[in-house]
Amino acid sequence: MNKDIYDGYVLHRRPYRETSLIVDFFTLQNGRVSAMAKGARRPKSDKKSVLQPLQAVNFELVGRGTLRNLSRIESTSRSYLLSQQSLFCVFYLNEVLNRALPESEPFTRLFQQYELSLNMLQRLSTEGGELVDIEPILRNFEFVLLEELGYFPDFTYDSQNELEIVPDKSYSLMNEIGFVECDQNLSFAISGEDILAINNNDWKSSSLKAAKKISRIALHPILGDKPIKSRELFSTKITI
Amino acid sequence: MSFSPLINELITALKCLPGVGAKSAQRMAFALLERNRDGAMTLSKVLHDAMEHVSHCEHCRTFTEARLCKICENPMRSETGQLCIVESPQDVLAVEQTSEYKGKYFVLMGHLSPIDGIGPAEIGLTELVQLLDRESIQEVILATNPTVEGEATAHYIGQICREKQIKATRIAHGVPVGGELEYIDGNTISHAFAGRRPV
Repeated sequence: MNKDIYDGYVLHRRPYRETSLIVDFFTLQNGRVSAMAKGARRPKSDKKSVLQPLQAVNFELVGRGTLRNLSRIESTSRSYLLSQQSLFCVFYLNEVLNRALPESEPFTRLFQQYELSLNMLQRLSTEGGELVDIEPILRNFEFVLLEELGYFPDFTYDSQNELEIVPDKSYSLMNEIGFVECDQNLSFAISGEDILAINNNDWKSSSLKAAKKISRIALHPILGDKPIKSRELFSTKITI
Repeated sequence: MSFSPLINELITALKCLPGVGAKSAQRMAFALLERNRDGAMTLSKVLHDAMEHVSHCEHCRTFTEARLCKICENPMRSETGQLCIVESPQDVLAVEQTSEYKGKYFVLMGHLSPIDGIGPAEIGLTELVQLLDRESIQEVILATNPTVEGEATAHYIGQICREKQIKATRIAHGVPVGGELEYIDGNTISHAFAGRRPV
């Protein structure tokens, strides 16, 4: 029988038939993998507590075809216990990964960045971090995702004028082209200073704001027009 | 083999029930036709009435055909100043059976699950915010399921309560009564250890 062993995390589960689940995993060996967990929703199933996001698991898939069966799953370390904003961040990361990653294609560096982000969020969660500390974690993760998928712009190069980016000019990001010089009064203009600061991992309030703008634009072709629902969790002001 | 159109229609209609496939639907249809026509008539009448009239309680969002459900109608329930937040109407029953809790409920009809497109507005949190503003509630008890989504829902509502300066508590989780530590999964045990208290 066709058998494969993976290490990974649960990204998402959805009910299938009466007692089963279809689970999307993010794995070290093969990127995003979907599998059917038969009987996982039965009252006495022992898979329930391991088939949760935020839990590192080792599992085995059997069968042929695109949707394979989960035959064995166990946790490899204790689950992350996150609270508040950190927890919502993981929902965000999972939603982005679930939408952005093609099926069955390994992204080793992204996987390591995912684990690193979880560890940092765990630390912030126990020490009580603010949104300011969380943002660089999200941006770094998004940038690695863009790099791995081949959508990452060159942060040092003005593609239109074929010059280096300089601090005192303004640029806008065009997908598939890169940074292009533009008028500084435009709403989507990003200062050269911030672009270079992001490139040097220098996070301050203006570069964080610019990084958010850049990642929104660059992620758009990958994530599409449908809004990322997890963003709603970051505000308690409910909009209908 | 195909049956007469009306029987076929009945079989197809029965398949909308959870856990009922083609074979069970066929068995049910013939059992009703052969042996229990009165029962079937009652079923069709009650089914029709229920689907027509049952909607959500204006206060707690659980299912009821009245404006307010039995629990919300009871004035004694408001006296405790407690509001228990659960995911589904079945959870209300589970808590009610213990007779431990004497306050009111609020039923979310789900939990936060952004990947499935379920955000704060979809689980009735707009109504919850209005309810917290309108009534004098001293304590909100977060009894959502101990899954990652349930936990996120609890944290989100906890945050709303903090802004409104209402005390919010989360139900404890740990080892079930009559259980044996040996057979309990690691996550539950670590929760139990994290939530231990002096004796």
